[in-house]
Amino acid sequence: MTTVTKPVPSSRVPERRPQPSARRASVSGWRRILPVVLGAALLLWILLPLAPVLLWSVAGQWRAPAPLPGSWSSQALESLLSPEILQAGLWSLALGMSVAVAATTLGALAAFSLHRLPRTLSRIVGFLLLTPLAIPPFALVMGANVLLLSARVPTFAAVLIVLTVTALPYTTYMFSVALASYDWRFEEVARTLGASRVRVIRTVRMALLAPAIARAGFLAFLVGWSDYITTVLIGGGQFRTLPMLLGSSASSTGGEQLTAALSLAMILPPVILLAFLARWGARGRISP
Amino acid sequence: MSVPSGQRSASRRALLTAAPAVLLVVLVIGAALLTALLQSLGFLPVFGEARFSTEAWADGASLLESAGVSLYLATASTALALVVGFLVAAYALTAGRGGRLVAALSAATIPIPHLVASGAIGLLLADAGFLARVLGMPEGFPQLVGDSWWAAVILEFAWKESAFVALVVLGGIGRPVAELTETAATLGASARQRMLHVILPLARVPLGVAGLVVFVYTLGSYEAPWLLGPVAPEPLSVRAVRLFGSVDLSSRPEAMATALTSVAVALAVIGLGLLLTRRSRRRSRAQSGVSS
Amino acid sequence: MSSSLTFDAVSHRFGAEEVLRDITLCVPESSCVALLGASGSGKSTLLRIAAGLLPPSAGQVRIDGEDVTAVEAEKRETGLVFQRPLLFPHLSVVDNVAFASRMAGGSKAESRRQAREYLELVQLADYAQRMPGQLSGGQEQRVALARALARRPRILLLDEPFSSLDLGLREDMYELLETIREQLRPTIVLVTHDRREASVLADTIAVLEHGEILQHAPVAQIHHQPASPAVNRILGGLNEVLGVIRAGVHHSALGRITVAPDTPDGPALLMPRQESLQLTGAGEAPARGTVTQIRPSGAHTLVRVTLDAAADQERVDVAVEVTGTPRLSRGDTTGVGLRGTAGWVVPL
Repeated sequence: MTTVTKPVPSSRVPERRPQPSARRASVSGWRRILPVVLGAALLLWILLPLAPVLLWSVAGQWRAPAPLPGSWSSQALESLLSPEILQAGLWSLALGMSVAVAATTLGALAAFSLHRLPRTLSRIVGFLLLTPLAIPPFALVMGANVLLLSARVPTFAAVLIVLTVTALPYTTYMFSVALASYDWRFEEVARTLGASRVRVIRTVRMALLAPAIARAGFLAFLVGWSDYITTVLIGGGQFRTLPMLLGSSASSTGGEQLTAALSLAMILPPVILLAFLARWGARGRISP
Repeated sequence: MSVPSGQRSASRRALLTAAPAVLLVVLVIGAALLTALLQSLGFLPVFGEARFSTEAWADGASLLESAGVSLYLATASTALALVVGFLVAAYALTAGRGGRLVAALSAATIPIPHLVASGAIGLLLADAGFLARVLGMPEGFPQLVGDSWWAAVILEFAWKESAFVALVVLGGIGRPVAELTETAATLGASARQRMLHVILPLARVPLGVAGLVVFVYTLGSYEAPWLLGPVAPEPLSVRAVRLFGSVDLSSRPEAMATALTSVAVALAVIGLGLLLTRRSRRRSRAQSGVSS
Repeated sequence: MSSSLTFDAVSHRFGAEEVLRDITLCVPESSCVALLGASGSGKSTLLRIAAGLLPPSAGQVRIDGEDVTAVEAEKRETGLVFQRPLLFPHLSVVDNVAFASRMAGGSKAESRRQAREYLELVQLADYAQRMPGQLSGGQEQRVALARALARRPRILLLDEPFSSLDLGLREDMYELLETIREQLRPTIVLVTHDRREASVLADTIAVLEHGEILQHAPVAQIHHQPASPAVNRILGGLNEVLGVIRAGVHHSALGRITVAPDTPDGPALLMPRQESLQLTGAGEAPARGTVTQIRPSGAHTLVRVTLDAAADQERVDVAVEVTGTPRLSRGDTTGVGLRGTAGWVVPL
């Protein structure tokens, strides 16, 4: 019996249970430690796979039982500046930027129209634009390969087309989400303040949707930047991107230093871009 | 009731805006699937004469085995990614500054390509990899790369995709949940109870969506199983790419049959997933409508 | 179900910004204290510190004299109701109210049984099976109140709980809170920016500005005897009349007004509330002036008067609240006088 019920005019409400006075003691040590342990475990999970990459990229000799490299060397990082790797970096950059421009533009247009179409039609179009998510990329590439080659589409363009299709669901989705919370009254206010239709699109809509454009563009850039299978299957070695170099280095034995250095070369540009976007987004944010 | 003509022309204009994207997607996917189907049946050969044949589909046992491996990888990876991803999200929502740090670091791994992550996991988990070295090369260190359980592959998928799951969950339930967990705390719920009784039920829908996306993605992913898996048996992606690149051009139909199998499995999984979400949504609606 | 709550020299800073400075405040058992202040005054931060959701940078929180500063929110036994109801969207109304009991290990049936009693208290017993989305804003807030009470908190903390409700509903909630105070006698800390709400609900009001308590006093006293012009303004007082104290009498354009006998001589601000002033005929009044503005607000009218000042006195404007509509227009001459005999001054 822990509850005492006291009658009150309109309803009956139980009294508060008597409390043990040693309330402080209930904050046990284990309770405090558990979140710390979980946090440390999660940090380890996130960071551990990156540790060997960082170490190997600056390792000289690193024989088996030693937990740390026996000697250090900047050779692997320097090799990133070789013409072959620089060339591959440029190809990757070109591919990433092309996919970003193509998929962001098409995705933005599609999202605007999804917003305006009557419901059923909008659903059908939206569904069609999501289908690339359901098709395993290698399957898409294999089928498209035959067609694009027989149509004599240049290799780079063929890779770009397939990757744009892959990236479109992401960009369309990003814009749809942004539009769902976009307040069209901003444009109406601008119109009543004397801005023309075209000016409104440029100075109000584009400015307010800039964060969405950046996010969508970033995702699409990643699709092109990190693609491996499409470039390998369609490109057939006509142009070599960073992932192709990394793939051949990682699949052969030895050469851990180069694998690690190429990995860093692939990780850093997007991370820098992301940090830049985050800073720019924080500064240019309009709503509080 | 008739549609006003202004509205009709507005939606025609809207359709026109969507046309480039829709046409591109429909054409490329349609053509890709059609070509794959035709090639798998012996038409459109790389060279030689077209000849109808179901030979590529004949080795059903091997196709089924590959599909089985793919499904195993996707199931195990998705399950692990959901558990870890949920923990990251829940920790981010309940642990204050430390939680925000974990969430930020986790989100920062999202731009890392799977190929890079596969290489990193290889360096970490290989026989004489970083982890074995740190642990002092113990006798019983298990084989994780190229083993029959595909451990390294599953860990690579889970590592990458748990960050995605956490992002989706945090985005899906976001700030309101932070307030709700605070409220739960003032009502006497411990950290564990807040996780199980507030965050988990609210995260069910985002977890379901993220799980489906991760499942379909891992089903069709090539890099990790290729770099970190054993030579045999092969998942669908590895099998298809090997046959496609084979010098023996007669294996092209088999490659296409494998690719189409993967499409069929993916579509089946998506159909099943949508069915389940719809049913659970209907159930929750029925629940809420009890006394209304 | 009540205890006393004490803040002992509580300070809090967010980075370099000091949001609370050396707050000392006592909330006696079963009383209701309103923390009144504008947004940004630090009142919600103080409430979060009381709930254990935020550790203070310095100072102590005591419940019944016992230091609970280090006790986490879930162990502290405070009930908190926010401006938004924050009902758990995945739980029915009754399960929301049963939440605390379930977390404490109670069985489902027993927790729900208790929850129903609290729902009855807030007159929502018929809504037990609904989901939160199927309630109106006022009903949701009642459920939130029932949920906090069902925890049987030692202290009930209310953070602007009624400010998103419209006026009529707010009156209903005041009634409800009065019922709850009669039946359960909880200790309540109410955060609000609405001085009327604070006056209706609380026994005492603590006025917060820029992270400091300017004054803590019973409702009537803080209205008529504000400790500073700032408190006077925050409580809606419109009048500050500069004058000089000589032998317990305040001399100003408002005339000679007796103040507390121990008031030291020298310059002082007289702060008569607009409700304490009255208009009189121009002839017999000790102070006369010209009407500059007449602002009707329903049953009352606010009349602003510029007082005629002697050569050695400051020009003074006062506001007078009169019942009904006075037969006056701008530019008319009128007399102004203090109802009652004694005035309240703050020496400068």
